[in-house]
Amino acid sequence: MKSSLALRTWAILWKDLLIELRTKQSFSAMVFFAALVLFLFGFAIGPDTATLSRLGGGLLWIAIAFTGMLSLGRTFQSEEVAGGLDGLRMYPGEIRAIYLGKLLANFSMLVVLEVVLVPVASVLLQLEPWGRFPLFVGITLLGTFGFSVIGTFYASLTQHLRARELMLPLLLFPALVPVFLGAVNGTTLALAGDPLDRIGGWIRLLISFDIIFFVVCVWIYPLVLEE
Amino acid sequence: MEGQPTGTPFMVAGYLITWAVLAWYVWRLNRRSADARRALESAPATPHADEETESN
Amino acid sequence: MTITDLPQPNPGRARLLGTATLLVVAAGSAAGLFLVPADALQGEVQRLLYVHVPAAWLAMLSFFVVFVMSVLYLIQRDPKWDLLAVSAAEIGIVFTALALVLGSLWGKPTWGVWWTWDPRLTTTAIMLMIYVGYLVVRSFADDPEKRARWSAIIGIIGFVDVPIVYLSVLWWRTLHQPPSSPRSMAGEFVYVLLLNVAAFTLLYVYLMLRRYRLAVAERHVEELRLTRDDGRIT
Repeated sequence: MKSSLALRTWAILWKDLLIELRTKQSFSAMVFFAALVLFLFGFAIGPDTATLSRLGGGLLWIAIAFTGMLSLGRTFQSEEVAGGLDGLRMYPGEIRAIYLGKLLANFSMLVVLEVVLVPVASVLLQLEPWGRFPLFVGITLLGTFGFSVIGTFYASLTQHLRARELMLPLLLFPALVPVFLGAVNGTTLALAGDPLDRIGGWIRLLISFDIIFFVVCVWIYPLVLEE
Repeated sequence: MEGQPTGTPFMVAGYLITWAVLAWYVWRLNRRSADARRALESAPATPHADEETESN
Repeated sequence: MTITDLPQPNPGRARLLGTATLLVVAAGSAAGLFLVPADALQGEVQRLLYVHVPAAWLAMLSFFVVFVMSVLYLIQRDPKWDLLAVSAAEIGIVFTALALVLGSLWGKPTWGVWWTWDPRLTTTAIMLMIYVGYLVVRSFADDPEKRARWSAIIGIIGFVDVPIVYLSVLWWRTLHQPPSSPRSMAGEFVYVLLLNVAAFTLLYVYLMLRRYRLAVAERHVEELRLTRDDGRIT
C-alpha cells in the first residue's frame, strides 16, 4: 500500500510536470506575470531604491502569492477535460495520491518560478540574498511548501464551485496568514541581517504550520473528492 | 484622566450599535422565517409541505 | 439522511426564551451603563467592555460550535449537524463583526486610532474573513450534500488555523511593541461583566434555536424547489 501510494503520487506528479514541459507558454506567462507585479510595486512605491529593498521580502512574497494563486487555479482545471479527475478517482488505490501528486506538482512549479523570479527581484528591488543564501533558500522553500499545502487543498475543494476564481483566494489568503507572516519576516531578516537572532522563531513557525496542515490536509483529503 | 477624553460618545455609540445589530438580526430572522413559511404553505401538496404545516 | 425527520424546536418555548433573553440582556446593559462607576483611568469608554467581551466570547464559542458540528457531520452525515454548523457560523460572524466594531470604538479614544495591529484585533479580523469564506462557499454550492461536506471541511481547517494565526500575529507584533489590551478588573466590575457574559450566552442559545429552525425551514423550501425542478426536467 505504501509503495502504491508513492507510485501513484509520482505518476500524477510526472504527468502534470510533463504537461507543463510540453506547454511551456503557460509557465513563461507566469514568470512574466510575476515580474509585472514587481514592476507595479516599483511604480506604486516609487523609484527610491532604499525603500524598495527594505520592503523587498514582502513584495517578493506578494508576487509569489499572486502568481501562485493563478497557477493553483489551473491545477485541477486541467483534469476537467474528458473527465480526467473521475478517471483518476476510479483508479484503484489511495485517493490521497491525487492530492500528494498535485501538491508536489504545484510546489515544483513554484520553486522553478522562484528560481527565475529571485534574480529578477534582486535586480529590480536591489535585494542581496547572496550573503545568507542557504537561510534565504530554506525560508523560501518552507513558505512555498506551506502555500502549496493549503493552496492545493482549497484548489481541489473549490473546483466544482460556481465563481471558483473568486472563492479560491477568498478561502486561501486568510488561512495563509501565518505562512505569509513567517515567510515575509524570515525573508526580510535573511536579506537585511538578523542582529537579534529572531529568524529561528519564524523558521519554527513555518515548519510547524507546514507539518500541521500537511497532516490535516492529507488526512481529510478523501472527504473532498467523495462522490 | 491624563488629559484624555472620557470617550462618552464612543461608549454610547457602542451600546446603540450593539442593540441595533441585535434588533436587526432578530428582525432578519423573523422575516426570513416568514418567507420560508410562506414558501412552504403556498407550495403544491408534497410530503414535505404536509409535514411542515402539520408540525406548525 | 432525509431532511423530513429533522428535529424541530418548539416555537412557543422559543418565544418564552426570547422574552427572558431580552430582559436579561437589557439588565446586563443597564448594569454596565448605570450600576458601576466609570473606570478611574479610562473613564466612561471602559463601559464598552461589558458588551465587547461578551460579543468576543460568543464569536469564539460560535466557531468552536462550527468545528464540533462539522466534525459530527463528517462522521455521521446527518444534515442536522450541517444546519447547526451554518447557524453557528452566521451568528458567529454577526458577533465577530460586532466585537470588531466595539473594539474599534474603544480603541479610538484609548489609543487615538480606529485600528491598530493588535494581535487580538488582527486575529479577530482574519477569523471573520475565514468564516465569511465559509458562508460564501455555501452560497456557491448547489448540491446540499456537497455543500455540507465542503463547508464542514472549511470549518475544521479554519478552526485549526485560528490559534496559529493568533500566535503568528502575536509574534509579529511583540517584535515591535507589547500588545496593548484592556486592564484587568476587580470587584463589582467583574460581576457586571459576568452578568453580561451570561446574558449574551443566553442570547446565543435563543439565536441558535431561531436560526436552526430557519435553517430547517429553508432546507425544506430548497428540497421543494429541487424536486419541482427535477419534475420539470424529466
